[in-house]
Amino acid sequence: MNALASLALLVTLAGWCIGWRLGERWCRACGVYERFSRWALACIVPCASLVAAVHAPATVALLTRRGVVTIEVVACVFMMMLAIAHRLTRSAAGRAAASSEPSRHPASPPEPPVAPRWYRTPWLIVLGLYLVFVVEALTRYPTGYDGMYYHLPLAVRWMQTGMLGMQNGEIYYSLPENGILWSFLLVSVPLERLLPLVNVPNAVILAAAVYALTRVLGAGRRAAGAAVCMALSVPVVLFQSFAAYVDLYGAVAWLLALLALTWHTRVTHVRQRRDLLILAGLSAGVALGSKSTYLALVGLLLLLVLALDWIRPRDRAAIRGRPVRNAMIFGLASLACSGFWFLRGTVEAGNPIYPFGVSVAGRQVLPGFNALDHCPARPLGRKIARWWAYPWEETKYSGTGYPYSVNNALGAAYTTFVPAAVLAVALAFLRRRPRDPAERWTLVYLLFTLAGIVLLLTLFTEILRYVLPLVLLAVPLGGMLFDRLVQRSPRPAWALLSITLVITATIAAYKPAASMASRWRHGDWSRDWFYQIPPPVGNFDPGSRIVNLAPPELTYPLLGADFRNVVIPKPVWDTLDNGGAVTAAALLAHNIDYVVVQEPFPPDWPADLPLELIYDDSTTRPLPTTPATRIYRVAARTGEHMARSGP
Amino acid sequence: MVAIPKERSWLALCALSLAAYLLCSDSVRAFVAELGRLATRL
Repeated sequence: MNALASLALLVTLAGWCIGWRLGERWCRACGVYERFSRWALACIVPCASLVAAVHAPATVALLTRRGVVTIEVVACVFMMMLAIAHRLTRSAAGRAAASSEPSRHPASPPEPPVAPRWYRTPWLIVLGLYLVFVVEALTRYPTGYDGMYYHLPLAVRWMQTGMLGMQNGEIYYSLPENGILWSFLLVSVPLERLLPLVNVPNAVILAAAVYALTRVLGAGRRAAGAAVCMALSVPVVLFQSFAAYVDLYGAVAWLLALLALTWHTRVTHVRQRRDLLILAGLSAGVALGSKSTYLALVGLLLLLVLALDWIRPRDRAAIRGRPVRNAMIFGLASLACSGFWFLRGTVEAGNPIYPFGVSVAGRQVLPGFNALDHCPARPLGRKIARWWAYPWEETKYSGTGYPYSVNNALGAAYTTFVPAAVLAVALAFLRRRPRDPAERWTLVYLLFTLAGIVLLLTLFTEILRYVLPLVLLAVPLGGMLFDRLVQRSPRPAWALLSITLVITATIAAYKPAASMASRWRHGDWSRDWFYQIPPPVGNFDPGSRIVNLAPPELTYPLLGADFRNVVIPKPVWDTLDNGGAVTAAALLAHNIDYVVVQEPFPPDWPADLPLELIYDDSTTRPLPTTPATRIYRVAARTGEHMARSGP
Repeated sequence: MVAIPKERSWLALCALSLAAYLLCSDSVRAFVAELGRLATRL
């Protein structure tokens, strides 16, 4: 382990805690007196500061072409950002001391008395479920197709090159990646064993956000706790909490932005409202920089910002021009945490939203890919037929294998309460229009949930995790219905919730339990066994350059335990000047040391390739169900390992 | 808070929803199949 990098990581961790305290003080000054709201919103300050602390040196690296983004630099800039935040929040706290007035939750009827075991049982089930996943995650290495293919390899590439570069022509190596900042810090140390747990804090913040968002609707404390159990039991959330995906990170940031906007309509002082708008914008920017799908999802928040004065009407004369001003504050704040990615796209590809292109009347205005080109075109009727009963069927439309996964299934608790709640709320609004802010927020949640269904079937190409924030936004509606149920029938309602959680927990825990049992049976807990890495890879000289023509998810394992290899996956190799061809000239031009291929093996290569077969497990591999692997050494380059930059 | 009358009806609907989940879910089916395979192996 690198001592300086370890120290920088510790400083960053300590800085995060300090930033959270600053955020809490700021939220208190903004009039956020509800504890869980304050805890959740306080996370925006360190999260946004850390994003900005990476983007600042990354901008310098982008403009000067020098690799300056290292964990040590990030730690220093992070502390400077926190010093600025300290000054800003101190003055905000001073200003608000005399003017703030408490903002209370809308009144909800008192919850009927019920023995504690009824409302504690759901919590115990969820905690037990997460404990199983934590234990399993501590005994393995990072998993997840997207993480193995590009999220983690990109984090390693940033560490190796000191730049947050992109690969023009390859869609997945050109996406915004705020969600892998902690992975970048951990691989810089390196601390690979913590990578499977990198998303767990996001699940904790999600719990606080869902609790607070449910209370906004007027639900009681225990019902809000029930909503948290529903949210945490959604298999997409559960599995993403322990996998190298970024959807949970983005969803949490988006929900925090929404939470800040709900508080914007509850405080009275102009400065408090402005500060909450800034907080919302910062968090929306964190989400916007985590995935291109947030261009649409943050667009929804922007529409909401324009409608804030409808949710809580104020003096008409004072409103004039305010929605536009609010939208500008929100937009500028969001650019602070996402602007780097737009700048990078503009500088390197001439398109701020690269890798997605823009066409007008069949003519490409901005270069890039059309996301819809990569998806099967189905008529809308067919899509509706596939999805209308999805919560109950949980059919896995993308990928194969066990249905509960990072991209599939909503779980029994969600399916039991949330669709019924959406129906109940929709029927309630058909009978009469919303009258107070809590009811208007309920309508906003409902409309956003419906927008999620539309986006899933259209722009987001039927990929469930892309609408994760909107899927989770329906949970507070479930919490609100649950609040009504416990008013009349507390025991049956709590029992039903516990039963649903037991069902989901049993199905979900099977996968990690089986995986851990399999490793226990083999008695081999090593990285090489876990990833089934061919033995020669462990003997490669540090800095070896490898072309991975095997499936892209082998890219991360080939980087090595200390992340010193440079691995070029096939999709990136295809974008280089050789056009994907494996020729002697291309291998030498790109300083390639090894070529890894997997069944089905590529068609015949040119006869003059300077390749020497050093590994072939066609007949000897330990698991005959896995495809055979071959490794070739580029003979002409044996022993020529020099300091080299990335592809 | 939005008025939702007839709480008992909604509770019954939730219970029905859970029953539908148990009958139709691919996840439940896959889990039962896994348990069956496990039982056969043992």
